[in-house]
Amino acid sequence: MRQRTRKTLLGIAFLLPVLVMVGIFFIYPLIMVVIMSFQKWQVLGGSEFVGLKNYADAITDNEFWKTLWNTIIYSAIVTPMIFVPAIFLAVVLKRTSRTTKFFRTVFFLPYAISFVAASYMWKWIYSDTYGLLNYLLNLLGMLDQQINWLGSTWSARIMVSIMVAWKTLGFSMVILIAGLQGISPSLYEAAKSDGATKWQEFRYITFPLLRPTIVLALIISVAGSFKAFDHFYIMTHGGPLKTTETIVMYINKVAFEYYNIGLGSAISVVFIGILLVISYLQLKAGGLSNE
Amino acid sequence: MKKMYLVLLVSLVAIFSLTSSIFAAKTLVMWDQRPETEQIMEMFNAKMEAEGRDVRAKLEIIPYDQMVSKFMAALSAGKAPDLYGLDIVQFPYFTSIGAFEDITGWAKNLPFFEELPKGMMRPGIKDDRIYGLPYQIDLSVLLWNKNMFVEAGLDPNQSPKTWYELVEMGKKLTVDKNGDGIIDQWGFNLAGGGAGAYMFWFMPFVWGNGGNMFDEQGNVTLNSYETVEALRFWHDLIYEYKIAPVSSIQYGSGDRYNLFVSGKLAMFLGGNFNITSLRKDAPDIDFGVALIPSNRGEHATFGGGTLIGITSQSKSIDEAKEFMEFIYSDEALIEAFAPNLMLIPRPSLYDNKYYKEIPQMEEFGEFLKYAVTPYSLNYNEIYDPVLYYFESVFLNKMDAESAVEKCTEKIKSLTQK
Repeated sequence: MRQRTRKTLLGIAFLLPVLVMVGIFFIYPLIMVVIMSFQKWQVLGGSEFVGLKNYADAITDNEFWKTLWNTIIYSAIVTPMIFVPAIFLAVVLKRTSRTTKFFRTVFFLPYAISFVAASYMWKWIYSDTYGLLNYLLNLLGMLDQQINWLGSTWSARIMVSIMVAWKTLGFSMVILIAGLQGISPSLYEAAKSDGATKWQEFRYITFPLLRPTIVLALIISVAGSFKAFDHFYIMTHGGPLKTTETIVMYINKVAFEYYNIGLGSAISVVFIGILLVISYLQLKAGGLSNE
Repeated sequence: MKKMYLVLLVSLVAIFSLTSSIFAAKTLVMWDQRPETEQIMEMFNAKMEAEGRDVRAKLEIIPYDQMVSKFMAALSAGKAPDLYGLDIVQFPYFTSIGAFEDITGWAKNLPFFEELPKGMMRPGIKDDRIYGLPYQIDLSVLLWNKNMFVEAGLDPNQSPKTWYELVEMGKKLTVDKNGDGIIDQWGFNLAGGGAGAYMFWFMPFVWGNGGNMFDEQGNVTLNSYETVEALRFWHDLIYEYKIAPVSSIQYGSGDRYNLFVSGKLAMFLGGNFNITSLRKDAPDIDFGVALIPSNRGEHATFGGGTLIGITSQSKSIDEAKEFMEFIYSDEALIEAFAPNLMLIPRPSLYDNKYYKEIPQMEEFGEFLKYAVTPYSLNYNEIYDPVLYYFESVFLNKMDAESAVEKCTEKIKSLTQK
């Protein structure tokens, strides 16, 4: 019994630093946001509870739905842009050798750059008058006038997504490689002796066994794209005509530009709810809800 | 033995706290965005030390994008600094919630009070009481490349004064150098990339046409022929006169600057803050600065920057006032601001040895008289309609008249809420 208590205590001691950090930087702010979402929150004291008013304001706010919609469209574009190449690269680079190590590093490298730095870099690449992309296309004689890549809605969404895919697919690739390496080679040998083609191996062995890893990587990636802020803030400022303004940009605007902390908090809470639902649906779709 | 340690410890603590309370200077904390203020602090602290006084000032740099959120957090925690150099357009809101101390009587007796730029005082005033004074100043101006003016056969010392001249000169300065049908050098750029840019660079066109966004009382007066005409003019610079690329609607100030430095743009809307970097990045470009061209109204420039105020949570208001007065002294402004090419809020000090070496800087003493800062408690909220409707016109998606009408309605609904 004493042995067990000691073990438990030791376990708690090891967990404590993390629990404290999570508590201070996640749980406490989360609770505060929920409390503030029911308040007309005043900077210099005198905040009062207003019940569900902020929530009513949030869901009747056109801008909220518009920015949420912008975010959904962006996520729908960027997710396959990350995943199709990431799965391909993971399959190609799953065996460890000097060459694959080199290429893994190359594809992972952009992930180490901050979003802010990457956004400025790509903004320059996309610039119509002095950008690299137009310069190259011009050299190849493919332009009859400069293209303003971030100037129209769909082009801006796609071009920003390309940047994000370039930057983050390395991370998804690494997770997927780890998953692939967990699949026993004997399965492939057995399949081979049964005369399976490469596609059949992928379809009936790799894909089903990789599913938990894919779901994990998807959740991280989709949640990440729903939280998009820096790259749109820097590359498009939400333009043209606010069509690339994301929900997080809008929350920031309401809370810290319009000083409406209560409404900003309510939108944040609704947004957290939406993220939870999406993550749950993804788990369910991946058949992992019971694990 | 244990007891002895305890006694030792307690007495050590006692000694430390005693000495620190004897020697502890009264420390004034100031928040600001510019590191140059540090120099002023050093001068102030040296002066205090020489006078044998135990007052010291300490600077905390607050990044521009956190200036509001940090201040809100500090105020609600009761930990606001003694002084804050806060963005001038954010000031009215914080005054309205009582974040700043009333300094009316003291301020009016300052020897330099009368020379502070009049057009920038309004955001620091509430109900005829003064809460903040103009400190760091950024003005919107037109910069032009004199070398390109010579190449185009124009007088390099004559910048466009009117809209008409802007168009005529712009046409001569917009060139396809290698004949491939792609313009290699633009005469002009619109200033886009956000509502802040429209306020800073487009509003001078509205003012320069006799229009306005708010009247003295803060009522919305944007819906006027003057605004419609200014919007149409910017629209026409792209589609009719073709002296600015349509993409410049999305350009941030960095994009325009890069184009100017790389010799692809002849005239651009910038500010005093471009001078230091231009001299470094493009020493070969001989450039001039001028007020933004006007049409039917007076020339105007947006008076941006910061107001400095003493927060209502300061416990050292007298010392803070003393420090504030020191900030505006000849010594502090000339030795800390002028060598760094920052604009001095007192026009009488423009005749100093640092500005003398840089002809562009001297001009700004005159420009200060034309500075205008719009006043609104809902300044940030008017950003959204301004961005949306102005951009709609420049992207050719809405006509200027209905855009101005809808924009005004929207601003009215926001400010009357």
